[in-house]
Amino acid sequence: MALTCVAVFRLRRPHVSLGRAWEGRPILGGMDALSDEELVAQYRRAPTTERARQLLDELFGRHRPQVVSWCYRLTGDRARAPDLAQDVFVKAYASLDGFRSDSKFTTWLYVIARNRCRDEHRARASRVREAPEEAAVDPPSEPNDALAALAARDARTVVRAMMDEVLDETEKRVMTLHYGHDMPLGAITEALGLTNASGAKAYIVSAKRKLNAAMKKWNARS
Amino acid sequence: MEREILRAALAPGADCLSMEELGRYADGALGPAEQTAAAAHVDGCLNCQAELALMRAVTSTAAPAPRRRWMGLGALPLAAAAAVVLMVGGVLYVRTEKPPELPRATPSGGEVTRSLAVSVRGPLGDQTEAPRRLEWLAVERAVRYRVRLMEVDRREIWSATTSDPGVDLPSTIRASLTAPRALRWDVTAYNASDAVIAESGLQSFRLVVR
Repeated sequence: MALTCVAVFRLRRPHVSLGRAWEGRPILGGMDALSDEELVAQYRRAPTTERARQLLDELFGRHRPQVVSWCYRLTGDRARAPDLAQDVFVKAYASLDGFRSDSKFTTWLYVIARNRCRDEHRARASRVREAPEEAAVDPPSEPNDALAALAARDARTVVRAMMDEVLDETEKRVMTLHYGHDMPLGAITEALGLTNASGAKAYIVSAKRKLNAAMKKWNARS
Repeated sequence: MEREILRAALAPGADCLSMEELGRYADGALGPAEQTAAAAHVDGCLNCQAELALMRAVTSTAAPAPRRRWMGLGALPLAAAAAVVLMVGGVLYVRTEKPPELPRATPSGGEVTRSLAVSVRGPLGDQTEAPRRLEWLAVERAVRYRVRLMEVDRREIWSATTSDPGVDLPSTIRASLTAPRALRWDVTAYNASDAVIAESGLQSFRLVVR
């Protein structure tokens, strides 16, 4: 709260530029040469001071473009990415005490971004019960009847065994992220950097065909 | 029906690592016993492998140039900023331009990365003269390293590829590095399949007047 008071007090005064501007933010004496972890350590030593506010400005400012990029790639939503990134920094600020210096600050920040974007997927999924891309994924001429016939109790074991057997690594990741982690196909395409024309959708179609064929053989055997 | 089957089959299990644990695992920051147990789980877990692959793919691409201007707290209108500051108590940005153009990632491909960190030896911190060499610890299974020297705004000054855990700075580059000046550098390790297996993250050093 003390920092809040300091910050509000600062708002009453005109912005003072300290040194040359880089990407629109001031370069503050020596801070730009500090690592992320050093900035956090210095912030913790005196979290209620004016310098602490500057340290956070430097820390969060240097990662903001990166976090916007992550949020875009994790959701596939260009318009929402800056707002999601803002949420990430709010959470990061509130959780800074939980950052442990034995891991990288960027990894810690990514974890917050990933969790925030996953919440976004879930909220969106609850608003739209049927994902629009889902209807277009399976060609109507090739219904995955063998897969659909699986008893729910067998699904986890059988599907995972089949995936290991017949899918390549990218197909497995796309299927897992889409169905297991609720990621939209557009986001998977961006996040994994899939450069084929149809992106993740093509991998889903291919994976389902392979799974369906494998399931039919499995059903015939059993 | 099919979608529900797949959702049930591919949902993360109760024994899956949390995102926080996965992050610490990727950084090698778990305790020895936890790290071993996590590795054993990840080896057989589609969900954790997918999350690690996602983490590596998303974080391995350089951030684009920002399209919004970071203005700190001082430049915000008082009423609006104070309201937000009271909620978050921290730093914010204001929208000044359209959303950024963001690059596509490089294809992920390859195997799941067990460690994402290259440990650097130096230079780090204050230096009284331009360093002769950038050095880091060898990464298992790495066949080449790409190293970049950058300005503080991450504009590349020089880069090189080497199979050794270190590289000499060319004399022309050293001659251009005069104090006072802050610089950054990073190292990316690649395996035989040319997949990224470890990264140093951004490192910093500063040339100071003797």
